[in-house]
Amino acid sequence: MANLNVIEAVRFYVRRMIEDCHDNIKGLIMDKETASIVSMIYAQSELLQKEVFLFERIDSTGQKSLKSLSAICFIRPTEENLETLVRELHDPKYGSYYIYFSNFIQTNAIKTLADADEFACVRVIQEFYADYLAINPHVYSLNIPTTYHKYYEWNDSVLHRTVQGLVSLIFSLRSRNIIIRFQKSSNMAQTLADRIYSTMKTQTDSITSNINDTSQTIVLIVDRREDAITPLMNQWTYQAMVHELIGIKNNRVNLSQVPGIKKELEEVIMNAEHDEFYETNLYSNFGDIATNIKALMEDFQEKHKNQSKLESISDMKTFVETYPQFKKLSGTVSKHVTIVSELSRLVGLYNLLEVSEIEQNLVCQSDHNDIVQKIKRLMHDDKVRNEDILRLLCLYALRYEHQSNNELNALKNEAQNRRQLSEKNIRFIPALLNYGGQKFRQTNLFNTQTPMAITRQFIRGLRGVDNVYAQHVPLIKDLLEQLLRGKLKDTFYPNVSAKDQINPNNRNSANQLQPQGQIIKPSEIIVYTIGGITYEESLHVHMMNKQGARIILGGSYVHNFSSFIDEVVSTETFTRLLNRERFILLQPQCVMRAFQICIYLPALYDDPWLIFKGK
Amino acid sequence: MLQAVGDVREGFICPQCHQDMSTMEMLQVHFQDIHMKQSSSTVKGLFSFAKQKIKSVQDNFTNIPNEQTNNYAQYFSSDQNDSSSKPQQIGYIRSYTDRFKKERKAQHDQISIETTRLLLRIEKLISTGENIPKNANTKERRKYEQDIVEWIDDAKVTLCPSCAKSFNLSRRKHHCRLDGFVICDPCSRFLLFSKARYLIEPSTSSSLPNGLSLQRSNSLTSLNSTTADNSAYKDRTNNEDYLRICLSCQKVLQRRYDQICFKNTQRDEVFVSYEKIVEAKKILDEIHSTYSTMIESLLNGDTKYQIVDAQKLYRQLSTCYDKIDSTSKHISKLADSCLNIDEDDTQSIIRYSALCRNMRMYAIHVLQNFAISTRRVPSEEDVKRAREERKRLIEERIESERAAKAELASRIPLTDSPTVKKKEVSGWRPTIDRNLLVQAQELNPLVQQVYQVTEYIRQAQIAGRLDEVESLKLNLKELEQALNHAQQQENVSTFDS
Repeated sequence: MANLNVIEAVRFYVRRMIEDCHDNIKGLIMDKETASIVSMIYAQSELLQKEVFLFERIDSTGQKSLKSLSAICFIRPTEENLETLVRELHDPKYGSYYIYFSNFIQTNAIKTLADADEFACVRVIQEFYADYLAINPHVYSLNIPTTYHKYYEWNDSVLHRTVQGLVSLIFSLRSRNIIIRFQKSSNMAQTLADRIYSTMKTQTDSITSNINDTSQTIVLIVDRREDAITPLMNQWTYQAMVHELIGIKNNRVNLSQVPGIKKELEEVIMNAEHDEFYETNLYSNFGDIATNIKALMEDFQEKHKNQSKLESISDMKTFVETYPQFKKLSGTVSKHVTIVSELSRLVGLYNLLEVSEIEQNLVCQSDHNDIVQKIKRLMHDDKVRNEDILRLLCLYALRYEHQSNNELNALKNEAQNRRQLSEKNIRFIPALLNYGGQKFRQTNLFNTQTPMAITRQFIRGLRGVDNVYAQHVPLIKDLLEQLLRGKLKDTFYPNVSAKDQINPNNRNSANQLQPQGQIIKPSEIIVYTIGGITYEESLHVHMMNKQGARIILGGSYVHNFSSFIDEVVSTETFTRLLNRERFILLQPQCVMRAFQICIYLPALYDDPWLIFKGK
Repeated sequence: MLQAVGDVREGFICPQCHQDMSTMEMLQVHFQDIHMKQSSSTVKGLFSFAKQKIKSVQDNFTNIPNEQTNNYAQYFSSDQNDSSSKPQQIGYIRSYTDRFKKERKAQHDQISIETTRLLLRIEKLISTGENIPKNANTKERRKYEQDIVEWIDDAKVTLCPSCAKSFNLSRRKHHCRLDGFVICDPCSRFLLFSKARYLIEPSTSSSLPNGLSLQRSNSLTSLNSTTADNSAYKDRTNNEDYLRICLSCQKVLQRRYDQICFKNTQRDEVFVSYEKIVEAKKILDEIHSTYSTMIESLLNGDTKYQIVDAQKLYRQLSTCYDKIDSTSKHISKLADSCLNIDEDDTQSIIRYSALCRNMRMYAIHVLQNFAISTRRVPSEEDVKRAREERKRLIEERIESERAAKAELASRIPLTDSPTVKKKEVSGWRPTIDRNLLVQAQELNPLVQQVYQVTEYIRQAQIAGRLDEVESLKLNLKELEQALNHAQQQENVSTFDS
């Protein structure tokens, strides 16, 4: 049974766009967001082979008209884009236009465009629901770096984008019947769930295809604030590590900071779709990668040796035949060797192994005094980065938030004394407690009580810890297991109006859903994390999928530690600023109150003039 | 390969090895003797199956301590109607094209009615028959014009409809010749007869477009108001006839003019060159497929094609090849020249050169693909050798068939009984008692196997096949060992958990 694949889903759309345009010479016009959506899944050279010769941004088209070119416009249905498109149609630079919106458009937009199309050069207007970044087959992102608005509420435009993104994901996977479950403690999750529910209700009927399709898709909406630990940890699998230590942005890795880097390797593209080595090693442990890369090198050298001795004509021929692959391979080799050696340099330089071990112990074990000592010791280690000390302090703060013998302040002071933490970093700890502290969480994040955790610990006790750097298991995995086993509590993760599921033609199954505890066998599960996901979570979902699960994971962003700090701190600053404003607003009120007291005080006496009479 | 040569053979030919058996009976014997043994050496097959079973059971035991073996698939629906059981399809699509076209048609129809009305009037106004008064002859001309378009009464209009200024001595009233409305002089536009003719028949008046296309961006309204535009004034005095029209008519005509221009724009050199590449590629595709089959058959020693044919095709291929290469080089040179683009318009320049470079890259890629998949024409010797080889092969086969035939023929007439017996023996196969199977189903797959094997041994003994019994017994031993082992492990594991 084929697992649904978000990369494939977007590819289908792009391929269809290009194939539906039968003209020879094509230009692809995109906006900023769709450009990254397409670039995540197609290399430019790949599109070139389909005779797409021009790649343009809709906001920066030139003056010269190219009437022999057909324009494939793949754009988001925003106001600006529509305006630009209308202007373009009034004075068309291309011979014909194939317009694809990545999401729902207002019906009046059709009329506006029709009126603008004086030259009758629009051939197609369609909605293709590829409105998200497909990162891995089971991972997507909406590329929203900061989701939270003041007081951890939605900002209208971000909410709109999120709803659009999620609904487009659901449509692109051809899911019709959805059950939305959301984290009850989060208002944002609830709002989002409601909005998706109503949007699906209005939009589904107009798109419906197969009525007999009884498959159920569960959409699980969770809030990053429930699990603030995962983005704080150092990672040891390839993809996660690269993101944590160097940073992956739209599949691009910026290596310009690497000492002695060659010019052509300053920015490399890491796309598992086009890079076999990367694909097989995305989830490999750091240790394994080193061995694999060695094998890759040897393979390469072997081939290189073969290439170098071109004695006979048949040698030449095989050379020409294998040359493209050879060239590709040599590119991959140099890229991965550079990255892996940089990673191992950083690991040694910052003493990351030790840091990570303490992180893992802090989260998964419960020896308080030992941990405090270890953190203190690390502070004296000059190799360890301030950033990593901050990680540990944050984890400590979250873990022992309500413990009476909490030594957070002592640790903080010591960190302050020994190291110069930036102001942003110091602000981060209270901000983080506000973000994901116990006040907000509904489950015990450092759960030693749930049966799952107990079994896990028990097994770990039996076998001994096999990998000290991978003890931590993100919350999302527990949630998913509970969901699958029908043990996810409705009180914590309720269903959006279970009474009328979006399934009007199938009342029976809707009724079946009613009794609690009954396990619905979904055809797939879509997870959306408000506030972003991490590659560690991606790894765990990948492992589950390998064992037969069909889960697609995504969120507003893929965080690493530094982007996570940015999001938390910026939200917090915003909130605090508003708090202060309110205080300022309050001051005139105080004045008023004082004034009122002055006025009404005399009324307390029988005779208002008594005070003045002085008797 | 042997069949590909295309000689059709008839008779009792073995479907597996293509040997010709002269009679039905011989074919049957041959098939059972040779092929049945290979394809259904049943007992052995069963044993390897059993071994696999054991292995998987063992694997399971070794894996159980690992907590990760639990299969999540059970939690997901496996319904047949389920969309997930089919391969992934393209996601939902919603098309607005029809609605859009409807809207656009409504819009366009309205405009085209207006346009044709104006064009019809223009046609009459600018026609130059003998009895039609010239512009110079003012009074008659005016009468003629009023016959075609009814002029609105001067007295009814006090303000110019477009600039809303009142008419007086210096601001005289004028009439639009196309719809008869009153306008003032600054608001009037002037349509030259020559351009009007072009509007009506863009294709026939071929001399004009050249002049027009030069100024197409500022277009039809070149005859601007008399005071504002100097060149227009010149045009007006230029002796050429013109029509005074109002702004709204001008707008409608301008749109028509733009559309004509849009259709008639000349294609850039790049695109013309690219067409050539596409053409050459098409030919290349065609030739290439025939060429490769030709080479294939030549190397197989077939006599269908001659080397000369292949060489001729190869030459054609390489001309196409050269054509693509040179044209794409030409295109990539165009990238730097950037014809018809303002130098200030850097955006367009970048765009244009990117386009050219991309085309070149595409062409290079196409060429690369062909270069890799095209084989050279084989030399005379190669072909000769291949043909001899083939001849030898055919002869060999015929020879071996003849030998086999002779052997079979010598075997059959010996006695009638051996064949019968032989048939029985070679067809011997232990059968499984259904009842036993049903019983065994509840048991461990290993135990089940043991049961089956013991049953086979019994049958083999009855059939008197001692060697078979021997090997079966050996296998039974193995099975029992594995079973013991598994049971021990099971005990341990139950104890563990």
